[in-house]
Amino acid sequence: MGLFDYSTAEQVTGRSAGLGLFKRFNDKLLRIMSAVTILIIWQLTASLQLLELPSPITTLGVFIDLIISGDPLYNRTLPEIVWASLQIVIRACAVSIIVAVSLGILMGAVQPLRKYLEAILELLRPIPPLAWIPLAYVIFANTGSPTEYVQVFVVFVGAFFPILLNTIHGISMINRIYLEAARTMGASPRQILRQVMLPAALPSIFNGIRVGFGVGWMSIVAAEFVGGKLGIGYYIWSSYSVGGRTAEIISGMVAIGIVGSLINKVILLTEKRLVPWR
Amino acid sequence: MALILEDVTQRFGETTVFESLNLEVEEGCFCCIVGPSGCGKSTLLRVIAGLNNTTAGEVKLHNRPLSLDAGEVGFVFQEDALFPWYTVEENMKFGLRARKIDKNKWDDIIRINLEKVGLTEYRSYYPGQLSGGMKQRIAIARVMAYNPKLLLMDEPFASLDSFNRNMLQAELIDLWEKEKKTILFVTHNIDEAVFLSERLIIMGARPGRIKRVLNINLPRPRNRTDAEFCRNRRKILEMIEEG
Repeated sequence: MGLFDYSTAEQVTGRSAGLGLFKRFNDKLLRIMSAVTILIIWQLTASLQLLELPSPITTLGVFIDLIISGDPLYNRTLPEIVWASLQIVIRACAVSIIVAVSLGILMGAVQPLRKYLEAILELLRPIPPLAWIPLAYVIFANTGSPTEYVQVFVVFVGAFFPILLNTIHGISMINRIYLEAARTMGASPRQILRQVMLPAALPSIFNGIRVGFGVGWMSIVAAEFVGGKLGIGYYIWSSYSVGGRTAEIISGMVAIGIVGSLINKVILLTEKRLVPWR
Repeated sequence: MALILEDVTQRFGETTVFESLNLEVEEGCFCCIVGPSGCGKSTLLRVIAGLNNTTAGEVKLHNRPLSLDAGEVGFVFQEDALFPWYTVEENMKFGLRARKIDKNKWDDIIRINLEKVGLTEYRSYYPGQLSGGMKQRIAIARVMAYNPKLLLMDEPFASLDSFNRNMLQAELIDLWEKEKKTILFVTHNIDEAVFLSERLIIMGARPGRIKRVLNINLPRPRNRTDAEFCRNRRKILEMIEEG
């Protein structure tokens, strides 16, 4: 990577930490072994009929079928179903990022505002996003499509607090010296906000966005259990209701996992591009 | 007089750092401030810059009250104060933008000031890729770029090794001889103070006060092993210690 060494401190210490056992296994091998372990346990459980589970091979077949030709019951492919949910998450998280980052910067920079809002936010924070669903249906009852609004709202709530708290943390942890250097150069509050506070807090904000998207992705799945259009949460829940479609349920779960970790990767890559100085 | 302090008092709650301090520094003077720790020499610099809410008194630059927003001062900190998220060039642009300097001139200003500190080829580097000495050179270039009337330096070389420190001192003198900026330079290093200053302010502690103001008339370039240099150093040390 030329002049930049992107390996973080954690990665470096990660190598030296630990007991030093099993040193001859490299990381890649260990990753493969962990996947193999799960498959063996799964296969055993299915073969010995400990649980009513389809075997890994059967499931894989269903999974591939779902991706390519789709589910005949719903007339949709798995990517289409996932995309329906993902769209809602992206929209909701976009709103959440805008609101939470601006509010977080204000709260981090203006002490009285922070004190004023802290009490109410501390009360709202422990409420799980899903607990908002009934109230959200009341709030959005008069919109044309309440379910969609409710889902966006629930994901918004889920993503909001991780982003807000990380932004506040990022702003309040800024080294005073940067602010003082900016002030002695005669910078305006606006310049300080945009060119000092925002970039200084950016790594922390990205942390919040990553966690927020994660919580948002979980929230949409659960929100769809309650009802709504054909999304991935709705899909696995109705597959259960139909009965005898365990392979479809597991396929749906695998898709949720894959998409969740892809979201994480994409945000990490974006962070690397936007935070090149680290 | 370039800089005038009138009855400046700084308290933090019950603690008085210094009271009714008066000081005059003429234009183009290289002025060092030395004193034992706790005498308030760094605080004094921050007061002059306008970084502290001064309890009483007035700081005037060219007969006008000095204000922080005007960006009339260039402050070089002991710690690394370069913005790590900006390259060297962007760091320098920050000050130019703050001072509303014509954008067409930015490129030339940056080049000229990087030349002054001998780091032209590091224009697009991030501070994290530079050594401690280079960072302080860039910090100096960053403030020189927007051409402040007054340069305040708070132990800028204290965290450098002695080779780097000596080198930067010599470079700073070169720069000052060319530009004739008014410089206030806080240090706890007497060797550094004798090497650099034209005027030397000795502060005392408890309460913080100005004990003496001396002229250092040694010819330049100054030689640290020179007998006269050492005699000055010894004399100043005695003055600081005499309570």
